[in-house]
Amino acid sequence: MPVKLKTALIGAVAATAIATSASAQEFPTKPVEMTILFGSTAQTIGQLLADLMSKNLPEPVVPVMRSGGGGSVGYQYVHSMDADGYNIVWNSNSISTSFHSGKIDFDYTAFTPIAKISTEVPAIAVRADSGWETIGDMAADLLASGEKLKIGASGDGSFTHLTTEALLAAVGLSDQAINVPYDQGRAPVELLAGRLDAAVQWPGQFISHHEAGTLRILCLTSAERVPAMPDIPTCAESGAEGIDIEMWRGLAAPAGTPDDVIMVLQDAAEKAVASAEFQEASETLGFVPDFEDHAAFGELIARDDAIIGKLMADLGLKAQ
Amino acid sequence: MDLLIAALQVTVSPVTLIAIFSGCLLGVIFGAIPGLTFTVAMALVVPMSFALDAAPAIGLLLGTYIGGMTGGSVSAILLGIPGTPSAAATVLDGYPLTRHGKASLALGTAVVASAFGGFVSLIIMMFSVDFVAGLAMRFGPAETFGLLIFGLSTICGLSAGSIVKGLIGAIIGLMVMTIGVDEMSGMQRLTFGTITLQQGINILVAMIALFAVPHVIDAFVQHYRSDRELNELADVRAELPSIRDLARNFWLMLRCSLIGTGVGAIPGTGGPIAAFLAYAHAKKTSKTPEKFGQGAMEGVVAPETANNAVTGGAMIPLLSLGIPGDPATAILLSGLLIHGLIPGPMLFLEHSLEIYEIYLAIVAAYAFVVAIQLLGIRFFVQLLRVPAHLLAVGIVIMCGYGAFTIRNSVFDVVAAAVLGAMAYGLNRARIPLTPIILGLVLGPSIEREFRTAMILSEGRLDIFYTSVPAAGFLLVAFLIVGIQLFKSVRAYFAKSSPKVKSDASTQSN
Amino acid sequence: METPGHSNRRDLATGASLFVLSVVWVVIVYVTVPTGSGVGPRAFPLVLGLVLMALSAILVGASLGNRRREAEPVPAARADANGPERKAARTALRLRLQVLVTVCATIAIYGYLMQKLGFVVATFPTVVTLLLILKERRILVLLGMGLGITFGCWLVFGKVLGAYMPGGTWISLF
Repeated sequence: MPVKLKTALIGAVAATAIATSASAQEFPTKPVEMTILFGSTAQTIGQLLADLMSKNLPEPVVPVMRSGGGGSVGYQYVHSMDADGYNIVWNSNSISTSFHSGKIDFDYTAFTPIAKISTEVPAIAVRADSGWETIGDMAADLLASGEKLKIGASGDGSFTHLTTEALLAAVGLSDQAINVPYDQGRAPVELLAGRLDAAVQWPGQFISHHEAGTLRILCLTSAERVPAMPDIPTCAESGAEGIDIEMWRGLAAPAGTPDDVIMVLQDAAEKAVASAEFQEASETLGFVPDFEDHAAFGELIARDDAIIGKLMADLGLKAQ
Repeated sequence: MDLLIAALQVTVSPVTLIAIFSGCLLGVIFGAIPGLTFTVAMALVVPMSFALDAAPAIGLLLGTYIGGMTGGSVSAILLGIPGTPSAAATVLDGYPLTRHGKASLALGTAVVASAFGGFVSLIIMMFSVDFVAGLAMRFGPAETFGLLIFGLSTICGLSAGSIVKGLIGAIIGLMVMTIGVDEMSGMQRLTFGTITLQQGINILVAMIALFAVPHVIDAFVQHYRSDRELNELADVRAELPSIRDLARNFWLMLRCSLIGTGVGAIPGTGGPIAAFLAYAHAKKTSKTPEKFGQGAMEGVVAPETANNAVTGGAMIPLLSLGIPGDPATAILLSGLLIHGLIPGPMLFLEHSLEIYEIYLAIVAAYAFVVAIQLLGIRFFVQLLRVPAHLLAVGIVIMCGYGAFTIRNSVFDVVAAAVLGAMAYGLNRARIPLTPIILGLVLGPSIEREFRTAMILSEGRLDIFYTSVPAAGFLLVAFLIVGIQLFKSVRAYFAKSSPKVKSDASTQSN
Repeated sequence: METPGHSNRRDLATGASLFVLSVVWVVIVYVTVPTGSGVGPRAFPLVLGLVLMALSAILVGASLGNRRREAEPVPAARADANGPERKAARTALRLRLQVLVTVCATIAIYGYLMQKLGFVVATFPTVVTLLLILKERRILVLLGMGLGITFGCWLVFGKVLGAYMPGGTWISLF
């Protein structure tokens, strides 16, 4: 997003915040529960965010783990709670994948967006000795030889799987690939051991191997290069045209939560994202802090939901 | 050497030591209380570690991990309820030892064996991290599948009596774990269209159901039957094992440490299978295998050494390859990440000082754990003075709350109750417990490894016999089961006299 | 009391009920779980159900076979079906069933209340109810255990360790 627009938006947000602060003085009078849907990195970022938001609110934000069913359990819990701002969810694109795969019977409109917090960009990697420097090389090679590509990602319908399919479609390898679902970040090792030809995961899982020269990250799927990894090209640059895939994380509350309450939470989140601790953690945990206010966030969710819905329908993963 | 001294300076600083100690204490408490597990404790300390420097933060997490792993043996031995799944094998002989009035002896031996296993695995990690990581990397889905089936087949050596009932137990355990969302295909299985059931059965919930609920029911029944409080376990001397007792099991402990480290290094396996394999190994190599299950000290030594050796073993792929083996190491991984330590080959090149700090923190953690537990034994055994029915009430609350805290879900508490009732029924029907646990613990991995292997081989089964380790493990597994089946079939038909009281397929206690 | 006849009857009952259970399981799995591609999501639960069906059938068969061979003691056991031993066994069974239902229902209700009322409000009555069920009438023990467990856990886990304690969605006191 252009810098100017961002400043303008923040200004607008600040103005609204001042306008509504009088009626929002009451909120929060008790701890706010932040439902966390996934373990490991997502949980750690959520815990850190809650910790930092607590510093900017009179009452603490308590991170509460409600994992299971690929996020659907946590979404259902928050969805069933009162829309008073005391129950919020640390959400992600999983709201769209859960809905379109039929795990939950309500979609993103069941939640009011609070703020976008961060993005994570999947990466595709191959062995360093594969001879492939770009994703274009890989595609050209395989299309010429007709060999199959064994590519690893997380389970079917997961975000990395959808990314994989989008990448394969962009380079024309859709019919020539065997998708191998892995869990617990094992794909990089399977790649190293030679049982896979390529893997799509979060760059944090590849980076150490990439630096050590055993694996090569071909590209990242965002439209622009990721600031923390300036040397790694985007997939569009690398030969997969039109690829622009990011996973966002943000906060949302049940639909119908009063605007002034949303504003209070949004401001607390903004301060948390801007803090030095959060910026520092982003580098090591491998995500990009990217605050957007609730309006911009809402548009993003709606846009992504349409894209994910279409992609899943094309792949036959969409529930009728 | 300079690095070691530099790391020593960081590790022996008061803040770091206090952090490690607090972690150990917390881990032991969460591990020791039935219903609570150290995975929950680790998730709890992650936010606390945000404010700390890297060394104390990692010390805190490692302390919790190690404290929790050893703490699990406390309630396994005292109450017959494992504090963590890894301590399930310890129950087999630890609880009978308590019933013979040897609780403190068993606890003391368990903690020393744990520390021994931890140290051996640490030494292996320090000197051969690349070698072991390379070896672990050779274990693809097909090989891991072989190892898991081999592990499951050890039930034949462990389930006393009927092979058919043993297999039934294992199958039931496997079946329970298929409920919920299938991670590989994203499809729902046996959820009946509900979101609640998409959570599936958490292994920790299943453990509560399998051990704690029947324990509580038995305590209640016993209380109703006898009006007077008969406290048969009043013998609560705090007797510690002598060096000689421990030295006698030195070679066993060494072998079990190797089993634990090896199994721990292979992703997708983990503590419970290591503990059961070690137990089976101890029984097989023992001169008095008939004593196992009746209170053999080796039956405590073997699983406790092995499950703690898993901590070191699991650190190998975690640090050198960046793969967490289980939920606890996954939390450890985020703890490392947030303090700027990205596991992988570069960690050893760029952060060798921190690597040494981690090694020293593990050493310190084991020293603290031994101290905490040896001092704690006199308090732990006092628990046996509490009338069994009052203790049972406490266990109900801890299990209810413990089941809830795993995922903060009421479903888990209700599932613990429902499965607990079923577990009690199976218990009464003399379906042995051990195979059920193995089925529960290994179920998801077995299915995942098999299906992944089949995808990798493009649907051909040859992947399982063209790989030497996979074929070897599977062959041994089939031999074990085959021989047992053959024996029981022969015993069934050979039995002509109606006076024979039991046969292989209907034998009970 | 562990006569061959007894263990045979038990195995017969176990095998039969597990057989019924596995048939139900297989039908549900077959109807509701999609096949997927290759070794899909349905394969494992289906095979497991079929194996359990086979194993429980073996258990039934074996216990029937044993029963025939041990034909003599069975009628003997049946003859004193109303004898004192059988009566005692039946009372014991009823007691176990009662306890089973009580304990498991208490745990389930406790979990539900914990969510709705919060940890503190739910725990105290649960402890006291369980103690009353156990015929504990000493008021000191009731109050001591009830308050001790409730506030002990609340203090140690909630306050000292900072673990999440459900606060209650109906009412929220703490």
